[in-house]
Amino acid sequence: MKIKISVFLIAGILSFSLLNAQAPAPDSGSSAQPDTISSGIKMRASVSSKEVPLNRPLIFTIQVEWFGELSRYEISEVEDPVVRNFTIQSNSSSDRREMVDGELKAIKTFEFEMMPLELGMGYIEGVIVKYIDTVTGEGKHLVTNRLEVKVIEPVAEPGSRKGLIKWVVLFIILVILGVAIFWGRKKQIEKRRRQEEEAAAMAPIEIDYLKQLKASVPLDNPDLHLKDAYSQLSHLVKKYLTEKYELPATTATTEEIISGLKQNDVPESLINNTEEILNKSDVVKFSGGEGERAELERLYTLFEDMLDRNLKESKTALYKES
Amino acid sequence: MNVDIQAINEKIKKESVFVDKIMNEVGKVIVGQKYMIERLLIGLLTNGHIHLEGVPGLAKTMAVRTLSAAIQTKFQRIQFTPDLLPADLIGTLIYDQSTGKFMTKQGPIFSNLILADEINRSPAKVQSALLEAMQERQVTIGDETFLLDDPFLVLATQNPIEQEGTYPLPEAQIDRFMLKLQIGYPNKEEELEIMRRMTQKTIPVVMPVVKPQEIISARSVVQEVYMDEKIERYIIDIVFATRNPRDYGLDELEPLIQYGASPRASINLVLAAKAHAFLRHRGYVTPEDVRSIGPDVLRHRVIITYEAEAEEKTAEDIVRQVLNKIEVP
Repeated sequence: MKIKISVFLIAGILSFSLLNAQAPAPDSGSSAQPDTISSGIKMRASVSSKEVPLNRPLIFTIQVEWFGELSRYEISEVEDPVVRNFTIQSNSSSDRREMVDGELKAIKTFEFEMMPLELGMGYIEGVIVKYIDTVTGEGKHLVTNRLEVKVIEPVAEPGSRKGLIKWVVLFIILVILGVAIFWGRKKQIEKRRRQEEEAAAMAPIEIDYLKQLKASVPLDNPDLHLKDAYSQLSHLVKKYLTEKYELPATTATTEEIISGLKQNDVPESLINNTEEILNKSDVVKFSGGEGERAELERLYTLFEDMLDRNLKESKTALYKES
Repeated sequence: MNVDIQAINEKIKKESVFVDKIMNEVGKVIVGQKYMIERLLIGLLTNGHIHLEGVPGLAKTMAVRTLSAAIQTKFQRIQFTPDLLPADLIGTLIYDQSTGKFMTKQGPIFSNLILADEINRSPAKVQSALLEAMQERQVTIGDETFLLDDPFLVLATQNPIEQEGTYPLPEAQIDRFMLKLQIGYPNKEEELEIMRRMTQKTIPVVMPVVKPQEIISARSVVQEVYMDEKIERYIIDIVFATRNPRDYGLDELEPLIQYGASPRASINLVLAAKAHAFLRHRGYVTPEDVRSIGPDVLRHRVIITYEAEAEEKTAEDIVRQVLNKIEVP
């Protein structure tokens, strides 16, 4: 029994091979497949393209032709193709006749429209076309070759461009709107900053320095580190002189600062006070001593008085200007 | 750190009295040049040597001679010439026919104040002999080593206007001088006074006012001068700014400096600033001392690039720029 089955299988494989062997070498065209010839009848199977986008249909065409009248052969059956990674959408057939070299040629065309299912390779297995020779009454069949088609990325739908344009226009409008808002806000901030700067420029610097003095030399703190406080006081005085008289006081020594103030026509009393604050602070800062609280308070008051006096003068000057 | 600043101040005031005496006595002969006399005293007080640069006729020799007379020390002026030999400087062994033995003939370096005039006129071997003696404070002649006198201060001059046929000192050797002074012309009033004083019938004579021992003992007092950490950090910032100017916002100096000041500069700046404070009868150093002495300590230790030379920038300009940029504590 087993031997019989094996013989049938081998015979089947051989007969299939022989059927396929009838097919000549593949056509060099992109989609045409070799013709299958049986006596006077010839068959050609082709696909519309070797590569098809996922969202486009593929046309599979079987063309059977022979010389003579259309009635010479009768196509009794064309099986639906067995496809992989495709689904058949529709099929159609047509007949026509044409004269070739003075001879009449009958052509029958069967078309199958199919849609790809997913990216990758798709296959159309061999299709059996059965026919009857009306002269002899014999029934025969032809088999198309297996075809392979690559399913590629989908292409844009002609209708989708409109949507894209809509989005682009919307995006541009949004960008313009965003830029306009940003620009407006920036101008607003700039305006506010300018106003603040103008206000700050109008305000005498002494106000700020009085605040800084209180913050950096907190005399009400009983644990105040005197040496540091002297350093802070002297630094603040130097910063104030730099800003007020445009002297490079922070990079100058006390002697240089005093000489600079003298050249700037600064009132004598202010020069004397500055000299006293800086010299006394220098002694504490550089001599290794700790300094006395009472002395610090006196110097603090001297600087405070200096700021107050200059503040009054600045306010008077501003009042006169306005 | 607990510092008895009052005690130090008192001590400094007491020990530095001689400074005013010297300044007054030298001032009888030398008009102006306070800057130079002060730096000479700094050299004496810190055991450092001084490199002088200035055109001829600025009373460099006279100032040193006068100072020497005021402090009762020996003075020698050695004119460096192309044919000078090391033996002419340090001394040699000579054969005594009467005894049949070699005896040592000490050279002019055996003195307290040496003015090595136009040191760049002699070849390198003579310069080296002098610099070795400066460094080691001793001289070996034959088999015998002789200690040099104390105080021992060398003032080497280089004439900046004649460079033909000279042997300029290499940077490494210039670095051994504690200070490099640039002596300028006197102002109108000073020159008028010089003119009058030097054309009198009798030129004032300097009297000795200080013994050398007083200066030697003052050296240890100078070392006691207090230097706060803020000042130490200020010195470090100055020296580092010559090495990495970009770190101190001096980007424009980066292409102009080939080599910044060495650690020897930091050491000498500390010593010189202490001595400067001592001359001001102060027991502690202030930023004024550092800024005053800074250019003299640094100008010969900052090596400029060809680019700086092309831009006619000197080491002096760079040092001034650094000092004007670093924030004073």
